[in-house]
Amino acid sequence: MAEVRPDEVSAILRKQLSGFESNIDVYEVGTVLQVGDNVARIYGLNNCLAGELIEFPNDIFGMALNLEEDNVGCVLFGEATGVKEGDIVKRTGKVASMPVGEELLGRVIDPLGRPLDGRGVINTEQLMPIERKALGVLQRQPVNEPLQTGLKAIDSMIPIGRGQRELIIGDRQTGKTAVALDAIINQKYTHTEEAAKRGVDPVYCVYVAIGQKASTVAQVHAKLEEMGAMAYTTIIMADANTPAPMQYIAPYSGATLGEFFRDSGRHSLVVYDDLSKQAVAYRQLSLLLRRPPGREAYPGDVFYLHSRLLERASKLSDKLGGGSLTALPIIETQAGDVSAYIPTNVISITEGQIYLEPGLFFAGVRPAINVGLSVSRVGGAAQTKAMKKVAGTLRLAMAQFRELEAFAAFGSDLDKATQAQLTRGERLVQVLKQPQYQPLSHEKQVTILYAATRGYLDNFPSDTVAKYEAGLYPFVEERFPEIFTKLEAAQDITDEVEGLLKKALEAYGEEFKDTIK
Amino acid sequence: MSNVRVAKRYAEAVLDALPEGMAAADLVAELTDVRSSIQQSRDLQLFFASPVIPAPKKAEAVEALFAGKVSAYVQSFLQLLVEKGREDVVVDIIDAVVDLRRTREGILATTVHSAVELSDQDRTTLQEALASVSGKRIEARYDVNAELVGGVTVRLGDTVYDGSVQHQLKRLRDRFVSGR
Repeated sequence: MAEVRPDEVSAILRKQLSGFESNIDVYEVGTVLQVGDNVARIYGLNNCLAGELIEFPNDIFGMALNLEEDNVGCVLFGEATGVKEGDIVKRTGKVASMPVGEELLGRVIDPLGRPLDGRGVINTEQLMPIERKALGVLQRQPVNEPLQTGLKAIDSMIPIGRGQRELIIGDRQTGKTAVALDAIINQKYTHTEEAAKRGVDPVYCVYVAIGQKASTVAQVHAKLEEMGAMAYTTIIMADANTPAPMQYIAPYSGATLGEFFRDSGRHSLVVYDDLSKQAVAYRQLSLLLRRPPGREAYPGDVFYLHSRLLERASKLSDKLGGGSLTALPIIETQAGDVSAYIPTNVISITEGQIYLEPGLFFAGVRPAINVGLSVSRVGGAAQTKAMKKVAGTLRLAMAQFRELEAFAAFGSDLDKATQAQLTRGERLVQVLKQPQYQPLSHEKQVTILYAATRGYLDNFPSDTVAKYEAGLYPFVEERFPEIFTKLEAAQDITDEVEGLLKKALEAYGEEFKDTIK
Repeated sequence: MSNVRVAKRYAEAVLDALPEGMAAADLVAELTDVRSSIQQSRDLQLFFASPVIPAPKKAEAVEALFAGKVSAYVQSFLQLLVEKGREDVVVDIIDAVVDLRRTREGILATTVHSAVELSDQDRTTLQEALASVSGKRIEARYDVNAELVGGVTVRLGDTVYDGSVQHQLKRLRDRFVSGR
């Protein structure tokens, strides 16, 4: 190393410090009266704002939540062990905020935007408040663009539009996270040049993990990395080990990051995994702050907790750039009880739900979506014409099948029409199954669903459907490649495409018949 | 915490119910005497704090201790506290009375911390400056704290005016650490 001359050092230091002001610093302070369980009561701080960030000793920050006659109730975002009675705390004059920017893509951060992945400082230029007011009516427009999840069952029957809020609800171990992850992985296509040529805008994703095991989040991160999805995804992590206040603000941080993309005319998808744990964290805080408990000991404003979060999902008007924030909240039910407090609240806030059932899951129907109970109230408007054409008959056939399924169990003689409906239904259930981490493109989905709803599968046993599907795509790509290109270009089943489809499916049927003998 | 609230209520009442011919300053002076006699005697503190001693016993003791030494008004106020079972917060109440009277008369009490002893001229300048900032009369105590290295810090209510070298060094360190 070259030698550094002392006079050089002092010159540099002087230059660096020349901007340092020696003005009198004015700040407001309070005294900690009581601290414990990540909640502190503070005497003083007379002009403190609700939701203001408070600075504690040892670089711990807190947020003022209760402003009372003679004290301020405050939650701590760090370990309470570093704070003791009598400590002097300072007002910061700021509400809780986080850094936002493209730099956060591919990173794992905590709800205050600090990196957790050990890959160094994140240099962002912009700070945005974590709690923001949702947009009003004039700034919005109806949902009109599809958000492809790559799952046949969802894209056909429970379509999600960009800017929609669709709840994923189900018991533990029913594949809720898997559905959300597939949706994130499927956005990879939107970042390709091919998609840009077709006018599909990229979707940036945020995965918010609340109250989960750190190992589970690590798995999710590894999987997204493996699938190349981290390039456009940020993981916000408040695992089970982080203090309850962090878990409480985590979804709002996710929404803030999503809004950054939305407000710059881009599209974002935010997954909140899961909001039941956030409600539990908020209940803990509220009870420690001595707010009166209500039903299931949740505080009175637990509905507002979720409604103000999900109201931030939106599709902006063209005047504001037309960006969108799609929210996929996840709720875990206990033993299938959707009429518990939090599930009913969130069901009523969102525009539809994807209901996952353990019964279906163990029967091998994966994703275990109960298509009868799942709905999407606004997504239909965003569905492509091609998908609408195949999905209309699909819904009807599935409904008829569910009705007849009970009869079929008796094993009595059934008339021909009924038997045909049962055969069709069984094939459809098979077609809607899909392995994890294998999202399908729109044109492939349309092709297989066309085959199933138009009866091209009825002649084959239902246990060969998976094999049929696996062979179909390479067959079409090789022999009738124009089907995929035309479907993708027109987003519709034109007469020409339909003719080609029929020809292709007949030819493939002949070929497939020989392979299963 | 609840003590603070109780103390404020009693303090307000005792100042509002002042009999004619008695100035608030007299009341404060008498109560300050009472406080110092309580604080000087550990036995008396324990006696007031003990829940085992019945109220009539305590009332008799208050009578015997303060009769003739304080005005009838203060005497009956102390008796009221005993009757209501609030004799254990008597010191808090007296502090609240002192604070409340200051606020009502537009006086702000503060402590000025400085690294070295301030000259009388500095004190008057400082006091005038503080009065113009706060719009109130300032009642200042002066304290020398060598840890400040240089400069002064003043706390008015919840607002701290920090002109100490110690604080500036801390800010400098923060700037170096954050690299900005």
